[in-house]
Amino acid sequence: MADAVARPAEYVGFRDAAAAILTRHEGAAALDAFGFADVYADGAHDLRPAYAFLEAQGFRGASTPALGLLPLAGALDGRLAGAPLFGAPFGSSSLVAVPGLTPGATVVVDRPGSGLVAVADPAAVTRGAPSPAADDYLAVLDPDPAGLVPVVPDDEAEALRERIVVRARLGAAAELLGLTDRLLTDAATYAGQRQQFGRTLASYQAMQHLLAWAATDRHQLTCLFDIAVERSAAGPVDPELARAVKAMAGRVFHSVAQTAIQVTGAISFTWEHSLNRLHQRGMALDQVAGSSADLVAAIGRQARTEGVIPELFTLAGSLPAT
Amino acid sequence: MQEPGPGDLSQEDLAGFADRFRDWIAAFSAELAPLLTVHSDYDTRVRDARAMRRLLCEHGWGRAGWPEAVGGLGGSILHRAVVTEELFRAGWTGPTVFEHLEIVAPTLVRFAEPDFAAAVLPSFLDGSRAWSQGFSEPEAGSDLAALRTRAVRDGEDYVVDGAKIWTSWSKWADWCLALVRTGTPEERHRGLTMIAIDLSSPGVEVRPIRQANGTDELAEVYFTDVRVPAGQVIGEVGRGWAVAMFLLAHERGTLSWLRHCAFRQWLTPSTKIMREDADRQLGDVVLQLAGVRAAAVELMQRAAAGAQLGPEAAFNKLLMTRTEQNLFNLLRETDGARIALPADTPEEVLQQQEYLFSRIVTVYGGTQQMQLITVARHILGLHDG
Repeated sequence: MADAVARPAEYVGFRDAAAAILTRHEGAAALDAFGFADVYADGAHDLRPAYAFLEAQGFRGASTPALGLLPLAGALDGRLAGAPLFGAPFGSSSLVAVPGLTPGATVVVDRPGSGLVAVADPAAVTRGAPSPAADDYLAVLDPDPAGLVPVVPDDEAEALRERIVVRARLGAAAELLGLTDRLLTDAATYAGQRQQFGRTLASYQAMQHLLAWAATDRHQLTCLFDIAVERSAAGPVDPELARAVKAMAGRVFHSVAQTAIQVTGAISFTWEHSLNRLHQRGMALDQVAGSSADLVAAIGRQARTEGVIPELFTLAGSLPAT
Repeated sequence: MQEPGPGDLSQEDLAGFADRFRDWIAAFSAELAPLLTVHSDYDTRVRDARAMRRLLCEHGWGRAGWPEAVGGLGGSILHRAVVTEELFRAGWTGPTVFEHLEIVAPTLVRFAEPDFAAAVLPSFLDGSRAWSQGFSEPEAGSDLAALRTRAVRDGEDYVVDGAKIWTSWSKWADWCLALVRTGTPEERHRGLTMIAIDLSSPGVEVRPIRQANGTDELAEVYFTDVRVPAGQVIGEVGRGWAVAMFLLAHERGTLSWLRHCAFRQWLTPSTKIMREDADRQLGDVVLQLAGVRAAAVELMQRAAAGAQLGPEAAFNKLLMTRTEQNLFNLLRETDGARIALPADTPEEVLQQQEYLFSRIVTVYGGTQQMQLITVARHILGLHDG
């Protein structure tokens, strides 16, 4: 993972450590090797290592339950045994997506009006994916209201919702950033090797411009994401900032994916090519906890109705955590 | 009540500095009001910008963020950025010719002879003297290394002959930081030198260019046997390219903070007349503004930490100019008639001026295509052949 500019050193250290672990371990074993549960143990609130892990997971295309664990970590005060996974809203329907769902895992979803509720039998309400599936990282559930078990009453859940949504959005954005980075890296590498008319693709200005725009979009996402994550070390992240980060992550991912497909050419439109799985994973992650399309519309609606263009962060508040 | 002053200029107290400046703006609202009045006439805008610099310096705020050796109070670019943002929040329309402060002054601090920098920068900070930059020539645009304006050593002076074009704000400038050829044309960028030219010198002629938006911000500047003391060479003779790259990194990078503050001011009142069907387009522009803001902060933090800005400033220029064009596309689609045929109010005339200017922002300071090539070659490592 080659950063165009220096990113917060501590964060990069966690991310690169996670990337190394994810080359040797999968699933829960990777989380154990990283010490993922230690990140939020005993009420620890600095979640930078968790976001760093998720960015590395995106880059590697690895599958762990990390994104499902993060939103609820420390929120349920032992009301459920084990470590429940959060079923995040998927698209604009009542469906939920659970990252890294394994047999026997407990899934909790948010049902405003009812509170946080557990899905009695996740396997029974998991939508069947077409076979073969390009990527089985996200399980999509269609919970039956009759099969939901109360965990946190609605009045108590209200106090938890903001932080759950912020974590889900920043976590998904971290993965999308990693995926974006991977697609851009692979496309640039391919362009430097593949020859047409006796020259590498990278030597053509048309290709250089395509990839430069992709790198520019990736850069702005990185900058906004880093500000949000550094703020998370000092306290709660403004939900409007987290919403903007998630919206930008989706927008940038789709743009860079299109560039990667264009640069890589027809081979990218094959089932086996690595880009296919990463692309489909990113498409799905964009739908988690608010799609970029819906979030962008919400951002515009709020700006129009309130007559305020949000600043999202202050200069002083954007300084790196110390 | 004691007047709020800049006080502690450590980075740790940046939030406190912002609070104190907001308090000062409130306390001096009467003095500031005429300087925050919207004008479309550029002579008036420059006059007010000079007065703003003078007022800010008299109370310390205009010297915050600049080294003590050149008349500043210490602090960093982040303090200057706070001042800029708070002024825009108060209704400012921008610094006009003094936007070059963030471009030229850091270059002088970094490369000029200390005595020369100490002599000229205080008058730049307080608005009494303004600077322009002379890079492009009729035969040297994107291919800047082809420039022909020559400087030949003659005793204690250099004698400059040639012409610059598209020099921003030079109608109102007292100085021009010019890139000139001291070597041979074959040496290309290795034969260039940066030099500070007093525009009141004999042999200098400034010819304003009437632009498509009705203003004359740009100009041609002719040099005929202009004598320039050798002490006004900025950096080393023959190393002007490095000075130019430093300057352009600031023009492309740190200027994006100032511009994004202006963009927010343009967009905010227009939200009142937007309809629901513009929500997604508006949301996209708001998101792009957030990207420009975040990238500018990232760059300024590195500059404040002493890092040398490099080709990555191209990111900021690309993001800034794309956002500016999309923002004005949105305004045109929302209220196109007013932009096409503005009424005779300063706000509407200024909005049309800015709309038309937004069409060219992907050309000045290095074209969009040159920025993309910079990213491709110097950041992604893509090469020809």
